[in-house]
Amino acid sequence: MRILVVEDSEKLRRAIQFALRKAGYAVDATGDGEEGLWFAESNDYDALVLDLMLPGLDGLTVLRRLRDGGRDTPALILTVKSEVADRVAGLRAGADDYLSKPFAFDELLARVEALVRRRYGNKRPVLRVGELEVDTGARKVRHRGHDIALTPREYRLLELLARRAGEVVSRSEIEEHIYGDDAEVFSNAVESAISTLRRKLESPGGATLIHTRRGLGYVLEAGGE
Amino acid sequence: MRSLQQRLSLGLVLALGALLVFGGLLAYPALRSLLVEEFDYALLAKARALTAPTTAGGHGISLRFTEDPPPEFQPGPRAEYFQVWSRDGEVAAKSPSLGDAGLLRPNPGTNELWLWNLTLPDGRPGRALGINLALDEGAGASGFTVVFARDTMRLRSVLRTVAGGLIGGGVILLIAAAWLARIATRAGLRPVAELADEVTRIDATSLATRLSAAEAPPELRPIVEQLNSLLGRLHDAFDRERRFSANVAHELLTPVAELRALAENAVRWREDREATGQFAADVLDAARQMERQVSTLLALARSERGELPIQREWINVSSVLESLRAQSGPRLQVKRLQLDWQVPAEATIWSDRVACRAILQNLFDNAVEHTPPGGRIVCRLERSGNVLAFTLANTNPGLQPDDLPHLFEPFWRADAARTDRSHSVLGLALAKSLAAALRCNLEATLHQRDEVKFTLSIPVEEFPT
Repeated sequence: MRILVVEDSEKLRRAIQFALRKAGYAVDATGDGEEGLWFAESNDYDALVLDLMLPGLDGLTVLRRLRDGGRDTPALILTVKSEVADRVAGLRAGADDYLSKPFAFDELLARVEALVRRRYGNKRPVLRVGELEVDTGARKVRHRGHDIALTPREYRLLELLARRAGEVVSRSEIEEHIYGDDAEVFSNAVESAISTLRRKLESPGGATLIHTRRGLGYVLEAGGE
Repeated sequence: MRSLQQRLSLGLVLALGALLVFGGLLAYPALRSLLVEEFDYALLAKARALTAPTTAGGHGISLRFTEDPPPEFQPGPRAEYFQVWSRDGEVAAKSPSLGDAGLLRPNPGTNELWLWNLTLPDGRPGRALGINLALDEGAGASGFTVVFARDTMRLRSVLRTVAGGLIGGGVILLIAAAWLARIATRAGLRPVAELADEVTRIDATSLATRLSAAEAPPELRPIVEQLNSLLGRLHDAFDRERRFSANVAHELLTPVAELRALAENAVRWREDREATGQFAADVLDAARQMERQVSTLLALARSERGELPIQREWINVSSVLESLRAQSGPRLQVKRLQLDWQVPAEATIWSDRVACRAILQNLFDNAVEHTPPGGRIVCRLERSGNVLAFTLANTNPGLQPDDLPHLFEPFWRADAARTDRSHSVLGLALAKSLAAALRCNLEATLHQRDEVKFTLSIPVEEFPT
């Protein structure tokens, strides 16, 4: 899952970036409105965390231009402007959610998760593929009744595949959503992560859940080939 | 205190009442005199009619009416009276109604006619007429004095009716006048009542309301204009207050949000030593920024209350500006700013060194902060007439003419100009306040669309002689 953070306070930007990364997201961040618009137009983000008062281009204009350009990336406005009129203006400009500063990280993360779920058309926090259960709220994975321990990045990879269960997810998409632009992605990082996931999800007598489509990518489905 | 309407109504009623009393005091005696005159005329006419057939007989004087007095001279509750005296004072005749009583004979003299008030023998108030009758009897002249008297009960009754009519009419007129005065004053004072009503409806949320001066009567127009002017000033002050509160909240909420986010991260990921070290450094930086802002805010408050001590001395402004230029050098280089320096080697003024430096530094910082990379700053110090003018012009593309009135407001920022918060948003407000404390004038003008010019004018009286 890849998130763009546009926040002009450097300290706050760093803190949000850190917390989102720790939660397993790939995060791009900038403090400038124009640069933020360029990022959002050039990449396919799962969610956008956007401040309103920005140098270069204000947040509402960034949002309007994105929507006018046909981008429907879920956007959360994060700002000190907490008046009803400000919220209405933000939501009418195309925002999907609004959070006032100061905020609790738990709430920010929960709202970002909700936006991501909405993006994939799934409002339920538990994704089920066969006997696999991915609880996106509690960030827990169970397979055949057993809890599976995953690193945040492995969890995000599995969540991405689970959200698009039955669809082929390309290697580049995985790189983009899980690793982001600023992480060094080794050529075999995706294969290695897939391999680790397969191993952790293996169970005696159980069928493989993650299938490779050569030249295309990976697909998560129960009872596949 | 009585209302205007009450005062006007009462005044009108009192004035009318006084007029009525005065009119009554004039009218009643005149009417009384007229009625008494009419009474006397009737008495005289009757006396003449009765005495006309008077003739002289063989043994003296004969008055026919005395021989067979008309019925009104007979005894009775409304009886009239007459009595006749000969010239020598003997009673020659009297009306039967007198019985044993008599009337008072007027003092005989040259008068032909007497009229006087009296109490009739039966106790009724009355009025008497006395006349001297002269009769020719051939050889000599003889005569009589005749007195007719009748009661004035009817006259008195009429006079009482007249007085009652005057008093009753006056009271009715006063009541009617009070009612009319109330209606008239209410109609006359309607513009005042409407104005009061309009003013009463104005509260803190409707200070943009303006009273209509065109519809006000000329007497109220200056009041309406002054009220509108006051409302305008109040509206501006409330707006400034609201903006100040909102701006303070915004400016303080951001560092608070930073502190909370950093603290939350540090607590949650305390095992990540590298990250928590960075969080701690950021917390310290945020705290220092807040401290700077609070200190500046306190200085601004002290300056506005006139509590900052001003210690004047000879200052070379040029050297102060030179030191500020040197101090800003690195920032000018980083932003590739071009500095057009037009400052003479020496320009000395009599002023407070600390305050003067703070003004110039804030102006300088503001210019460096808001000039876009590669932009130009023009710094000029020159004497113009009676004023030493320091001007600082810089490119600032985001600024609009509507922004100018807000430039010196504490915490004001044009939204688009919000950049990193290391720069104080109180600098220009403090500079303006300090300039006022030093009796200087600081103003901002927008010359072209992208150039703002700050001018600090120091009166020439401040120069050393």
